[in-house]
Amino acid sequence: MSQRPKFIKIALLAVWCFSLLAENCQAAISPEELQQIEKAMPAKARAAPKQSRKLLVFDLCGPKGFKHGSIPYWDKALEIMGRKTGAFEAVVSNDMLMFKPENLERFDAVCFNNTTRLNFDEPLRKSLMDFIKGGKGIVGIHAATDNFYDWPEAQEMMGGKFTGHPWGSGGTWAIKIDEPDHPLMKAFEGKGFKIKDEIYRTDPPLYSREKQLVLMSLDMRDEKTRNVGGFKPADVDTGISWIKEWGKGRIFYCSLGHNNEVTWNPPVLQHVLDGIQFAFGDFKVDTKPRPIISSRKETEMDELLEQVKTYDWGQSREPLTKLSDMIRDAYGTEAKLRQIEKSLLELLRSDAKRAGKQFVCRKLSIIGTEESVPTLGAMLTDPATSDMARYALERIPGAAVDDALRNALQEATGKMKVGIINTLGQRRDSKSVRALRSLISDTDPMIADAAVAALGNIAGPGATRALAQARGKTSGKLRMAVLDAYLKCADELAAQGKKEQALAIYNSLMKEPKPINIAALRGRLKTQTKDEK
Amino acid sequence: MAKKTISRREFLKGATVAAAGVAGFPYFVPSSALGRAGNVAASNRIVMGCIGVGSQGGGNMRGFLGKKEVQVVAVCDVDKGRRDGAKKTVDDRYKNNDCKAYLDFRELLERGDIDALSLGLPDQWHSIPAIMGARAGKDIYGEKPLARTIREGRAICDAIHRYGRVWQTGSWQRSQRDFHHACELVRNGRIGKVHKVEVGLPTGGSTDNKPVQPVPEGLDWDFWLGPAPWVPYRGVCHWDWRWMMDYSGGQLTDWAGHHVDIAHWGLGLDYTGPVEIEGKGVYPKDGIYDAPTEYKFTCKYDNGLTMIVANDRQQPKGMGTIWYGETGWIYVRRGRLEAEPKSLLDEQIGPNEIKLYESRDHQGNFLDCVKSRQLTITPVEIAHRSISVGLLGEIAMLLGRKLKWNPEKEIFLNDEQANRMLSRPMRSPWHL
Repeated sequence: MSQRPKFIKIALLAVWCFSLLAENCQAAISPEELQQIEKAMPAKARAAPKQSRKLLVFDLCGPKGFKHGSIPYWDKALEIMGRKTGAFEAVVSNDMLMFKPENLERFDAVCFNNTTRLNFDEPLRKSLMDFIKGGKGIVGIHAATDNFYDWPEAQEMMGGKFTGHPWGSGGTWAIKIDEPDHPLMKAFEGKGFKIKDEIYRTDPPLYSREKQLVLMSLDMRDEKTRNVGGFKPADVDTGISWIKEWGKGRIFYCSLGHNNEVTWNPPVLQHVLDGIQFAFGDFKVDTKPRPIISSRKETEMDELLEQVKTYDWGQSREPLTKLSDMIRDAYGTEAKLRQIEKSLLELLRSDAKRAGKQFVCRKLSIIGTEESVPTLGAMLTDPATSDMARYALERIPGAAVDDALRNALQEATGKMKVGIINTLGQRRDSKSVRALRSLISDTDPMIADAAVAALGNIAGPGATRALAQARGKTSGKLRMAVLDAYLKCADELAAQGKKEQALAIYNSLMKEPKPINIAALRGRLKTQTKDEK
Repeated sequence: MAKKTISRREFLKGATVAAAGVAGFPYFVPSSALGRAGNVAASNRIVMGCIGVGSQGGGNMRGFLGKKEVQVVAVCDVDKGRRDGAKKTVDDRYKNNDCKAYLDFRELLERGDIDALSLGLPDQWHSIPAIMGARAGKDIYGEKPLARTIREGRAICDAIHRYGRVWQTGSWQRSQRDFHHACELVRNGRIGKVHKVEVGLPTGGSTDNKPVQPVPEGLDWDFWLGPAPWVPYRGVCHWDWRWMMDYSGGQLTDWAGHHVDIAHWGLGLDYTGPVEIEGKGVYPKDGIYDAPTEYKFTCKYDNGLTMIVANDRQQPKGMGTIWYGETGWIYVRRGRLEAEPKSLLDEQIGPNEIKLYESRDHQGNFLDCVKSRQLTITPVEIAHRSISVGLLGEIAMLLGRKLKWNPEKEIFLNDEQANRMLSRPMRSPWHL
């Protein structure tokens, strides 16, 4: 009986020791593995070193830091990388004193190889900051963002801070290339890939596409990657590697490299080599962040747009309301709105259903610009889309809209033509007066009536003349519409203070039938009263 | 500083803004109101046509049928069941078969024998028949809210003023003693200078989804939609159109024409509007209905007054209107009138104090004005200003930002997007 607890204690101790071994103890690299690393390593550097380069490969972990099993693999890989390509010489160390200015100055860059919970005291903080800001480089492998917990400036410099890794080391995750044409991404030839590794969460606002140029990130179009347990909204944009400038220096970070196997992954090794050369300053590349629209929004919006494409009346309206909310959130951010407009226009040109297209037109009526005119203009002469296109166009400002409406007027027939006339009237487009005037004598009474009403809404000098002429050439209901529109022109003139012209019209209408004569008398009285004042 | 020009709408507005305008620019008496050929001249009957004879429109029609001085001769509805039912009600009342039933309101408007209209239509149909009715020389009893958009409301005002028609809005609370008394007390400074008014309106509706389904027999769905975007029939038209923004702004715009109208009346703000609007709405995330179920927005007026409009659950007093002044408050809703101090309610308005327009019969007031050619208790410009508050709140909530409004020119300041929302493009062939 008394033996049993003791046995359990020993067993637990053994398990604990074993777990330490498994997690923290760094297993030796086997000769086969070494061979694999050597073989996978690029033969040549893609940039010519401007001078002989020295890289400090630092691999210390803080007392409470997790020691990655891959640390010795990376130490070795970087040594081989420097030697094989001739790009640099790697010096591996775990001695904090290396950060003293006199030691640091021998190096062109520091690589934090899976360092965790590192903390710098003054004056080493100043030394490292002087080093980087003075024009040297920092390279971060995987856990390099798991440091500097009471040193916000250094965390800001790294562009990230460890807060978890929903994507565990046993899973295979999809990665998309955000900058396919960037020189540092040449290794991947523009193609996204899948990799078995542990991926760190990159929480904003420390991680931000406004502050760093993100080269690749998790691809949430991949179902498994997207549906990982513990997924938070901010996880939709999870950066994998990025670069940034810091003072006169350069930062390159790549979150891959938890699993040993990554050290014999040829494209990743090439990418890391390119990144190291960038950190040295041997690779002149664009580092400007691309904040246009965070890819988080992009991905979510793309998905919603896909759903709108298949939306039909009677189905769940949820994707529509979500998309509306995203658009509302973008109000005031011109660049985002323009990007959204583009996507919406693409949807209009797709085989989306009428219900989805109508939704898009409603949105464009608020955020659309002249960019929308070609797509919407082409919809004006199709009976299935003419009304919805006008719904957007009528509210979009700009002469290009009026031009498109006038062009479509020639081609359109029947109800479509009536709608276009109405919209030209609402927009008070004086350039359409000539076309509208000739439509007063159209054989279709609906078109003639619409043309008259539009002229009344336009109510400028040209429209007024056209209506004055139409008085003698029309009869019946159409003539009453002409007189109503003519009254509007008189009211407009009176409002502009052109009393003589207004009175002339009112007087000319005094003998017309009711209620035109009543309106003319009221107009005359009002105009004259204003005169006396 | 003198203004260079005045806008067309300001020009047209002139007639009603100054009370003296009524005397200056007479409205013209329809001949039939003075006795028509073939009718008993002494009866002074006003010949009416009723367009939209469902729930509220049907109620209004029955109200007019009860008036001795009215002869309803025509009804119009796009739903055959309602149309036929209304004709039967009219014919039963007059014990004849004379009432004509129309599907298309334009045919009804062409009848020269009709003096006045009763309009009881969904909001997307408020402007066109009203404007065409004015052009046809008819006086109009029209339901609140005046219009679905601010531009449509302005166009109705323009047409009514242009043709000198009598207009009464269905904001009948003005013809109720409690509301009248509350407004008179506030207007005469019984609670001192008012700094805040809270307006509580009902909380909204449902999040049902409805499948596309065949249009019921006898309903002209295309006509029902009218100027609104085409959508297939999904079992929602009568009554429940109120919860869809193509046809209504929900409880907010359904009720702003009541309690906001009363708030304005008490404050003497009948002919102006707020200068700043900001607020937040809660919108259904799914289902067929999209009008806000909850809403709360704050309006600032030029004189420093704040008006908070919200659904009743977000108002301390719930439904109704409460004015807060320097020395007390007055609260009114249907069936309730309260004040602090309570003694305010017993006070009489003296002979030298402001007397508000008095009516105890809203439809009767309309008919009186058709005969006298005077302004009704809720003329068109007042109705426009009342619902403008609701429509401005709707736009501010949809955009999710503070808006600056010029109530004179009726435009938003420095907000091109908001200005786009002042009107709605209409489906062909409909237009203003």
